[in-house]
Amino acid sequence: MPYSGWSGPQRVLLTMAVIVLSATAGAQSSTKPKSQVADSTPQFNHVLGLEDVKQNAKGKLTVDANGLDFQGAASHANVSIASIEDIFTGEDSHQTGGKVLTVAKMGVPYGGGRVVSLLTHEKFDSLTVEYRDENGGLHGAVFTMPLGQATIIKKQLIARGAKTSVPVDETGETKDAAPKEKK
Amino acid sequence: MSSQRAILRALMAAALMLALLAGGTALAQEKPAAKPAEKTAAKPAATTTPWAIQVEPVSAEEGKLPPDFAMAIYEKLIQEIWKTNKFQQVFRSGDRRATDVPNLLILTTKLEKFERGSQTKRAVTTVAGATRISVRAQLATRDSQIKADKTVQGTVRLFGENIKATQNLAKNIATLISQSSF
Repeated sequence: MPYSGWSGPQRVLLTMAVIVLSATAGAQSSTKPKSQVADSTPQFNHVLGLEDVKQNAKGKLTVDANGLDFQGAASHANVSIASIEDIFTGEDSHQTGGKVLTVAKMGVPYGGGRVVSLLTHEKFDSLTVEYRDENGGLHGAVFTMPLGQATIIKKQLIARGAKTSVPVDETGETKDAAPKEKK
Repeated sequence: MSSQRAILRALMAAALMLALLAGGTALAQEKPAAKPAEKTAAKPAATTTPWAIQVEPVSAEEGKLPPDFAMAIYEKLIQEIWKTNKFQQVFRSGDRRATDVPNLLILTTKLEKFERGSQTKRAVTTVAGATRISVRAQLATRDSQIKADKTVQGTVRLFGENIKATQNLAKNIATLISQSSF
């Protein structure tokens, strides 16, 4: 048997450490370009509600004369200003890194994954748009986006004539009353 | 001696892999056989129940339920009810076409409790930080005959974002509807 210099548990620990480090690096490298892009064009995530657009599709959300426009990689949807009944903004937080990092964290011994969890969370804005279709049916589209973007989109929609029950005040903060995440 | 052991180990590993592969293919072959049976079972239910349903958004006291959660519950309810194959048509709230439908059931949901957790807290502690939504779901006809009335919960306890609780809740309400008789 050749001498490797590492005992069994040491080898296991080393393997786990390599997995976690590579997963963390992967997660960071996949999020870094996004944050660089966020400076110019923020990444929007369509959570649900737009017809013909997949749930959790990423794309560009803009406001133009036709209304709210979502342009995904393989899909496109438009909500006209006249059909919008209400607009709400909110805030939440989630874990970054996706499933890869979640699985990697589970494999870290001695609760190391929990420590990684403390470092891999980020806050985000949510935008909810309630609108009616041509038959009068109520729809609700929910988007998530980088912090601060939801109020900008809401302001642009109101400026174009969209209705809302919650106005945007001078400081840009909306008065949406919703329970905040427990700390 | 050591080389013999290595060969033996390699052979055992190969045998294990083959056994796993064989098991996987056997399962994959079994699956399509089960599908037609499911389809034939669902068809008579669709033809014998000429009911349509109209889904109303969740009613809650102001500020008790975030709008994104309220809309996510509503949208996911529509999706899940479609999947049950129990209704000829599923109408959204306010849809004018629903007024002409004779056998219409109206689904109303009222928020009873909402507790927003934290995905980070769940990941760190595994026991705390759950998001819980509890609603009273009521299925009634136009003339207020109640066909189903029950408190239903949706939770996300460990994996996933807070909004995942809405998917769980919608599934549970759809199960309640598919199990009720009308």
